[in-house]
Amino acid sequence: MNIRLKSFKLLLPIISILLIAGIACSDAAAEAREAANKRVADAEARAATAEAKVADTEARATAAEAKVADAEARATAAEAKVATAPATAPATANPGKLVVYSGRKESLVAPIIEQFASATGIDVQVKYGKTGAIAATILEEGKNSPADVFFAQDPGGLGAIAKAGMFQKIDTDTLNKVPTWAKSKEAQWVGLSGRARTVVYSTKNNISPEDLPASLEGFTDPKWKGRIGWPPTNGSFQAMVTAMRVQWGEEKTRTWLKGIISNEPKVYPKNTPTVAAAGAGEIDVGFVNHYYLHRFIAEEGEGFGARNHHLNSGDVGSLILVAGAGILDTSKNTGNAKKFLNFMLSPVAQQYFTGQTYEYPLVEGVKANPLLNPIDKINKPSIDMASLDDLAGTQKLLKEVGLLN
Amino acid sequence: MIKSSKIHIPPLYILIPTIFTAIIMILPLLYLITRSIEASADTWISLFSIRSLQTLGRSLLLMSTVTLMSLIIAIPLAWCTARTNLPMRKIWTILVILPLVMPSFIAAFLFTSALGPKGLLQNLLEKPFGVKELPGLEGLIGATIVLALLSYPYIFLAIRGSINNIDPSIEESAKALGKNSLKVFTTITLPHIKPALIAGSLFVALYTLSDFGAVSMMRYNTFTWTIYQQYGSVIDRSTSAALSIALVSTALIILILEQNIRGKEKYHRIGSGSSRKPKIINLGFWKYPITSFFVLIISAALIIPVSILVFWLFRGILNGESITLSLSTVLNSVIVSLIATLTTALLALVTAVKLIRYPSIMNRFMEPISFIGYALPGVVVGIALVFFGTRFAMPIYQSIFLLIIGYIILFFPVSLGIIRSSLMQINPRIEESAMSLKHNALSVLTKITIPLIKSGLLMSLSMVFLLTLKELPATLILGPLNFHTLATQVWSYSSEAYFAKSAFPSLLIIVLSIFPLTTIIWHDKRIYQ
Amino acid sequence: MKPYLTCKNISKTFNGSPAVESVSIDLLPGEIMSILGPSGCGKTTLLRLIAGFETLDEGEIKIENNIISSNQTHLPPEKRNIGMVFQDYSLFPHMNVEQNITFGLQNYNQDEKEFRLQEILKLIQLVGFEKKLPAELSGGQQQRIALGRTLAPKPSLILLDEPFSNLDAVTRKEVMSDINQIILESKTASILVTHDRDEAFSIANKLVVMINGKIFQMDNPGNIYNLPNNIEVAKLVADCNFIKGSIQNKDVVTDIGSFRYESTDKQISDKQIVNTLIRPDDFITTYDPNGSFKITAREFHGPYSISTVLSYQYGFSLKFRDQQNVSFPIGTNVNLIKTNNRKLVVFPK
Repeated sequence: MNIRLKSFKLLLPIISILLIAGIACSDAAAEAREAANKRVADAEARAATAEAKVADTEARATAAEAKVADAEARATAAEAKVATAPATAPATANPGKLVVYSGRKESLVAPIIEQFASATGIDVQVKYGKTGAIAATILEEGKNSPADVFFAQDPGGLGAIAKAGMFQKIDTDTLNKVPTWAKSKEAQWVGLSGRARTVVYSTKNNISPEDLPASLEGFTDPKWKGRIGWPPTNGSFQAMVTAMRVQWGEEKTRTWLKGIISNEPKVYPKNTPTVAAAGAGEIDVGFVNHYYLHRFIAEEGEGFGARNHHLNSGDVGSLILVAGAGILDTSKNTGNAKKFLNFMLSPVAQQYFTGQTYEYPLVEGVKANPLLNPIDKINKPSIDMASLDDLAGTQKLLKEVGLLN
Repeated sequence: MIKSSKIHIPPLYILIPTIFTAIIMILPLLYLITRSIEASADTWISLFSIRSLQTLGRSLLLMSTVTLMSLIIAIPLAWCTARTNLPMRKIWTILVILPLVMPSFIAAFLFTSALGPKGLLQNLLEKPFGVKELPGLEGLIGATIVLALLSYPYIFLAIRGSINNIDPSIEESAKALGKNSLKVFTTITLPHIKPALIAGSLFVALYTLSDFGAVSMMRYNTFTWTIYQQYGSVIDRSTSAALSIALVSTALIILILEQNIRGKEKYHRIGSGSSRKPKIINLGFWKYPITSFFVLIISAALIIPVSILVFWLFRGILNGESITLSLSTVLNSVIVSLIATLTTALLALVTAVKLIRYPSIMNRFMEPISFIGYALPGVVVGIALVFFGTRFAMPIYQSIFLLIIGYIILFFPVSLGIIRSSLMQINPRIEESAMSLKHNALSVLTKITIPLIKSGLLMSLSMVFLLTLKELPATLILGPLNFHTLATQVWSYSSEAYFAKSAFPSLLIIVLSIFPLTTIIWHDKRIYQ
Repeated sequence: MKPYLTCKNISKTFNGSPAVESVSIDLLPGEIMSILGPSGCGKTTLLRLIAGFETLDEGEIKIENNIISSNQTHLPPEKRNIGMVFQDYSLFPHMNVEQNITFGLQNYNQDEKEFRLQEILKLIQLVGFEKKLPAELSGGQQQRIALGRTLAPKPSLILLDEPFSNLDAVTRKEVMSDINQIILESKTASILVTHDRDEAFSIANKLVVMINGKIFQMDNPGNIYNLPNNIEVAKLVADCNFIKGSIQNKDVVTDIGSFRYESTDKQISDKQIVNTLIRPDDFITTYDPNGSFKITAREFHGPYSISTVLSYQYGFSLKFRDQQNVSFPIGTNVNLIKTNNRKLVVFPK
């Protein structure tokens, strides 16, 4: 009897977990029903928070003109909402569903995807993952892929699917909303938001923008020895190298890489730890995407020990990369997929990207977050995203110089 | 008229699950072979290039250093908690196994934040000691430290039982022959726990081989990292497959080596007479340095990372960040992990019975195949199941069933390892006695075998539970649409630097894993009476 | 009487080496059989074949004319109604005495179970031990419970595999006689497997001597002791000396004299050279200063002693049991005198 009692005691935690799970399950069902009902209310609330956040941004911005710009932006957003609402209201007769594979993180895009769902009533189902792994998944799924839209973090992932011929052509109307450099030449995919390559510098180590060279080439100077950090395995970094190859040619790119390598840069696995290292003063400068810094400031406050500097050289140092999306050839919900792309290029969504995830809007008329350097000031190079699909060549080069295996 | 059964064939409830297991375990291999056949000659040539051999060399080197360091940490911890009068032994036992619950992709980041050149530790040391910068925690040394701190509990758990089982009279007779304590330990105790040491080391080795999170954070370029990079860039699936095949072959060689080292030991203990309790050794003065060692390990492996998470969480809350986590995410994690855990344990139990009680040629193949999953990177298992799911099992594609199959492939080896070694401790005569008392094989299994391996079963359940709870790559690939788990939330937030938001699910994973594990240790009567 | 158990020409091979070779035995209802053999002779395998834990390669095993094992059929152990007691008791360590004993009574209702439990406890003299765990009991008690557990469901045949070998000498004797008593009272047909001749002799109506997987002799214990059919059997069933002899008419002529002989081998002919079996109690030593033997060693066995005597003339040594209380000092010259009129057993050389 004693034994039985003991073994029961052991099972107790497991049973209790199951029990809690069971109870919570019914809860979850109820929750789901409620959630459905509350969608509209939610969307309202979210809009309100978004506005609050913008207000927050406002407070931090110093330039008076920013306020004006912001107010304008909000106005456009509001207009857009008014515009979409009546358009979708009559379509209550089952708006259908949409399956989105997102290589962009849920933490970044879930709110705007939900907004799309509530505005259109479409049942949007999302699968989140890493862009590369999702692209590999789509390739293995082949014609059985349940995906309608592939929303990728970088042009590389989109290029792989385009190359496999698994995208369908995107409508010209949609494509025309973004500048030529931010989309596929073959209308396979379209850019949805822009992220600038930037130099993050350590204010903790008392580096100031004046100390920084005018272009990336300046960092090959031996005075930067031991002071640089970079993430060579990161997709955006590799896209930057691809851009270098396009603009500078193979030889010059190799020379640059070797020049930096001889300065013994610290290698990080991705952007976040590189920015963290600059903030902690482990490195003086790092080559990263711009928006991580804003996350760190949001987390750690204004005291965070690093800031961004946008090089104005007009070459790859001030490259803008896009995150984009394409519609799968096998999509069963092409109509909704098109709506999705158009929504993401609407002023509301573009405003969301710049306001919430600190990215650059690609659609004209939407003002960038005042915390960001204005895109025209960045002096971005004339590099087509579509020309950045030679990832293989870049990896070959990186292997050659010993940055990759 | 007497009804007779066919000879040599185990009952169907043993045979069918075993065959099912064998089939799903072999799926990733089939996929890899299918894809690597498409690989060009160049791919294969580059696979044997100096560069990739160097990478393989680094993987093997890291595997050795991690295993060695884990042994160095785990053996004294296990011995002291089991055989000495160390104060608060039971609490230490629980504390030292907890680092196991840290997801490696977040733990490595936490370790660098804490121990990096300008990390938390440096900040603490700067004022009093003027330390401007610590040596960077990176490369081989960094990866070894992080992985050893995360994986030494495997060895600790494996040897804990057998350190306790040792017959005290053997140790005593060695002492009577004039050998000192250290000599007794190396000549008597160590050989006795050898099978358990090998089993634990095998897990550490395979885990290291397949780890991605820690090596990428520590910038130590291993084979698995290369595979992940390859999948990340989606240039060429056949190259990824060829690389994976190389990794799997390495793991197979290690498994076969292990089989040979282990030999054909058959150790039963339960049931033959009564054994005395081993003598508890009085530590005396040594209590203090040993306690310090415990504190050091626990601080590095547990307290520091957890403190950082808590710090992030509170900083976020103070900054007014809204930390929310939907109930459904928690439930998804718990329910899927529970189903995966129970299914895995059930299959492992049946397979272990098949391997040990029904010898046949099939077992020769079953053994290495059963253990291969643990050496496979999660992304490979995920993509392989996408391949088979969309071709042959569309109805369960992107359902939790396929996800659970993925978990089974990855963690079945852990479950099987634990259950098999518990089963080997049961004298088969006990089961035969039950049979001769008119109980059929199923009744013997449920009334005799399962109660006797109860603690092993529970341990395997809690291990698989926590491994599933923190699994990321396969979950991302195989999870249903709109499906979130705690691990995916941690990843989604932490990789975009939403630290406060990532801290909450991270802590929840840790708390949920601690729960079953501690309960089992606390109630383990074998050790503390 | 019809045999209860019949094994006909059964063989079993493990990894190419034969463990049991063409063995045939019969067991009558209520009969108690001992199988005696050195370790590794296949006797345990034979038992496990009968119990159904192993499948056989050739031959057949029948219970009351129903085939339970052949190379085509195999009745699982739980359906054979055969109980087995193991060398290491194999009690269920997680169950108390009561649960162990009633484990085989799954078809009994609660009252019947309780009744049978008490019956068994009385039989094994462990009334009041119901709630004890096996680990709390001595080896002898554990073995009695193992037997009680086996007897509880009233099997028609009990197999005992070296049941006493794990016990110390004193306990062994006690437990052995207890268990013999219990088995006799239960009137259940039994097969005991052992390498110890005392154990084998103590209970059996029928003794089987098994060597290298084959049966060498099967008879009642007295007959085997008195007339073993070869040297190996003789060595197994008793201490013995062998000396060379030659047959002359009805006698065997040896270096220590001529004696009447007998043999199971009917082919033995006149003038044939044979091995002569001399038992330690066939002769006594008598003091004789001019004797042709010398005492060279002595083993003290408590109730008796064994002296080694060396033949001056032929150089061989023989061992004899000393007469009660008469032990000559080592070095004493002695002569041998045959004490009984038992015929000496001879084996062809």
